[in-house]
Amino acid sequence: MTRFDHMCASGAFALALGGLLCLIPDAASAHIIRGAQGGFGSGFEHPLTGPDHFLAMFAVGLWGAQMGGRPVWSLPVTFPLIMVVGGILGIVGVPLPFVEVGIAVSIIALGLAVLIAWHPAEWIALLFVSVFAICHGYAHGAELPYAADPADYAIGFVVATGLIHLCGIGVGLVLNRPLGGRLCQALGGVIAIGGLYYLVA
Amino acid sequence: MTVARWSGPALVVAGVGILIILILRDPADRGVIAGWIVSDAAAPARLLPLIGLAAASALVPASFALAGLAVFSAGVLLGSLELALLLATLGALPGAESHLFFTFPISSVAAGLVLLAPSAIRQWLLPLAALIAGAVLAVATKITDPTLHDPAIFVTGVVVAVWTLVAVGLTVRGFRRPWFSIPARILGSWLVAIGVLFGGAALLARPPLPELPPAQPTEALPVPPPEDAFPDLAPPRRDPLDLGADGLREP
Repeated sequence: MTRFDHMCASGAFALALGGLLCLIPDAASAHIIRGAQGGFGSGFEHPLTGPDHFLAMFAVGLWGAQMGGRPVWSLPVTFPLIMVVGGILGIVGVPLPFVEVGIAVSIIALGLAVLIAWHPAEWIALLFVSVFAICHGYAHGAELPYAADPADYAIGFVVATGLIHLCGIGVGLVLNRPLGGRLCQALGGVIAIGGLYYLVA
Repeated sequence: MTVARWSGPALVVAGVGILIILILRDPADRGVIAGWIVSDAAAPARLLPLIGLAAASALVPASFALAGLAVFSAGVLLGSLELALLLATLGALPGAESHLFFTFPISSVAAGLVLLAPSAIRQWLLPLAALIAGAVLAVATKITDPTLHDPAIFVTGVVVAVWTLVAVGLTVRGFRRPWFSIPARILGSWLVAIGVLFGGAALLARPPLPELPPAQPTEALPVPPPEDAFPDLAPPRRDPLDLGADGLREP
């Protein structure tokens, strides 16, 4: 098997796992505080059941795969690390206005980046992703102190976030080849429309 | 070669199988050690840093991996011998007692940084991270011991940890591919993120909500006099000047 096949297999596995976990019934809303959160399961299903988080993190993986090279892993590595900064801001209670708007804009921007197959310099892509990671981390961090088991909650949602990234990478690597990558670009367009919906709604 | 390759997955399957059997048993029949394995020794917060450390050990030369395992054991010994010192040091952090003296975020960040490090540095960072992980594992094992004194609990905790390190390490090493460094770095970023986020949530107390201004006294509702409180039940009132046609008051 080639490296590409391995990555496809990993992506397919992540996709299947993510899809199965998405079947767990829960309210389809992501933030901000809905009351006491639980442990690993609650943290794990949090990004998966909030379509806005899911779309943004999926788009990060998709975009990284579309760019190829180092961004395949540098984007998914940077996202959770910067997300922590936003999470700390949320924990401390630093006011960050328009977080929900920022999350919706992140979906639109990342979707558009995939749609137009934007290939900026790596540092620009990392900066681009980091700005939005702050918003997503803030929303999670605001909830973390209220979790019944913060350790397991943090593990759950970071692992789920990573699986969504892997899922995006896998799908991106698969869709990048047929039709000259247009399928991948079309998926980016769908994601951007989803972001537009969140912005309006 | 085949035996060496599949020994890791065999250990993983055996460990997971034992854990499933323990989980499926009635909690009342588990006994102290089995119950502690399910609730503490095999908790995600205990295993995740070990899995990260094991993955890192599989990405370095075998000699460094073995050295890492030896240093991990030395860390466990150090942690158990210097428990009081470590507890005093870690206990100085706010909220330490309620967060297992931050053993989880410390080992998580240590393992994550090893995975995130460039390949050339990783092998040198591994022993340091293994020492830290071993020491905090000893602390976590000691302070979660439900019997407070049974050496079997400590031994069990160490066995579970070493089993995890060896099983995952051998599995990753047996099927290692050049692109493994990509998921390893992603796993490392998760571990650092989880550790920092958990530590941040514990250390950084959310500022209390601003107090509401004192309630302003509102104008009291008009209260009718007692005789008018239940008008339907009160006897009919007569106006003192309500006289009859003959000038006499009606009875």
